[in-house]
Amino acid sequence: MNEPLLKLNGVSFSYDGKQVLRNVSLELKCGEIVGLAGPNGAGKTTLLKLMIGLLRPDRGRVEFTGRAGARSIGYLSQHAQRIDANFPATVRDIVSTGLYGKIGVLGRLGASDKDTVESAVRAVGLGRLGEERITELSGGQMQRAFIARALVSNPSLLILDEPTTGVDLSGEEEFYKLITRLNKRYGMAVMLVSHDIYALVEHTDRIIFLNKEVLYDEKPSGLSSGKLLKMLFYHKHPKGTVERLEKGMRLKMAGAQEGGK
Amino acid sequence: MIDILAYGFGQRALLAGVLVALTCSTLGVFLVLKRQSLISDGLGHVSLAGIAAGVLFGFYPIYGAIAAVFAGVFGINALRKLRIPGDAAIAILFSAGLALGVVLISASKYASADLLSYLFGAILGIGYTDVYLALGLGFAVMATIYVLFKELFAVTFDPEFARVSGLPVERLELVFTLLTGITVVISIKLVGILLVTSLIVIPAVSAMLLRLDFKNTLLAANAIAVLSVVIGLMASFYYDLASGGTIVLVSVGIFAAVLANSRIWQR
Repeated sequence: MNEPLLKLNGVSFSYDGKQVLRNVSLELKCGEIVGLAGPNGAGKTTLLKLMIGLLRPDRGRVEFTGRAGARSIGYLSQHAQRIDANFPATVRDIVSTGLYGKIGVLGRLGASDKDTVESAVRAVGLGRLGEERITELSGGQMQRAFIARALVSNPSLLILDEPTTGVDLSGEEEFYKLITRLNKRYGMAVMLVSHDIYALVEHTDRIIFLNKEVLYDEKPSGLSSGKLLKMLFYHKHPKGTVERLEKGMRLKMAGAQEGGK
Repeated sequence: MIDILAYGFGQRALLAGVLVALTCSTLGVFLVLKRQSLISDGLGHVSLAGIAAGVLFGFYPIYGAIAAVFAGVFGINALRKLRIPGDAAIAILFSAGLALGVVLISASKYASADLLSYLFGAILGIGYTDVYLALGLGFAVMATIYVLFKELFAVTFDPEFARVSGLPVERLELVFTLLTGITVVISIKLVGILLVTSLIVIPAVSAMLLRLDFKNTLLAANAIAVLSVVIGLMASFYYDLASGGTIVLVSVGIFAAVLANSRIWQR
């Protein structure tokens, strides 16, 4: 659990000259579940894309230290469920694509690979739906299929970008149970991006709060109510509003103290 | 059927037609799912520049079409890298190819009759060179799709995930666009530049309405395309109609029948 898996050292990134991330340093450890929160435009998805190698940092380093340095990441994009309603593919077809990078171009799925696909499909509770068309599944079932696709290559890190978007409350509860169960069974680290601070506090080992830079990186139990409130405010209001509110509150409190004298 | 096979031109037309139908419909399923159907239309129009150059300078026009389409593929790729949106890149190449074709045609004094066969297709007048070219290139396209099937499937379904999992997505996209270009070229004699997209898109969309899995969707698209070509060729032979237009009308008829049937099933 304490062995380092992924390190970001002083990472900065800009899109067309507009800085999205500033000097971000953090470390993920094997087997932990980490929540990543932050307001819209905080750079969360950009940070994930830097971690998985879809983007390269302008400055700083992203270093994968797990399994002899090989990048072994399963990824579920926030847009994964936006698929063509007519796409003619079964759950098994889609889960199999999670192995294609591993077996390489021109490689063929062997019998053991097919067993691995089967076991990933069963692990997410879709054992009976393997031959079902992916587009016929409910939102929650489709999300499970994509988790199986991210899991099938047995990654040491599973990155899930806003996986509960469009899932109802009971589905969300099921999702967190599934992630906890898979984390225990496979031992991979999980990084979970969500706007739902309450869910992250409840279900993760550590919360990283990002707004272009890392503002907090703490265990949920170590978060003061002030920091928690600040996180909730940041989600609803731009940074300036929170700062103005804090300044206003300080002035009011100072005024009240002076009046009391 | 027996009568058309009694003639050499009929045998050549059927052989090339069936192969082109298989190639177009296989590629079409991927193109429709990638929402890139119009790339075939764009490349078809780009090919006009090469065909016109062939007619004007006296070399085999299909070779000119191959060169123009390859230039088009690399042009679209270069424009995309310069962050020009994909559909705008196709529109720019489409316009440039068509404009160059029109200018070259205007410079040629006796090109019009020959060019009509490339615009609207004339498979019953197909020669041995066209048949061998269609066979060679068609087999090359089908073999490449067979060998790269799983990679093309993954990139079609979710290119971002394919990239994360380690597949060389940019190179696969380039190979796929080149295959589209080759398919467009071998379809020109069958249905013509103006109708080339129809044989790529219509059988694929019809097959997708059947709600099968991926491999069976491909087989259904192949069957619909082959049926359209065979029925279309026979109708054009017996009733003396334009082959390209007849083939496309048959495929539209099959699409309408499948669509009506799928609506009835949904009720």
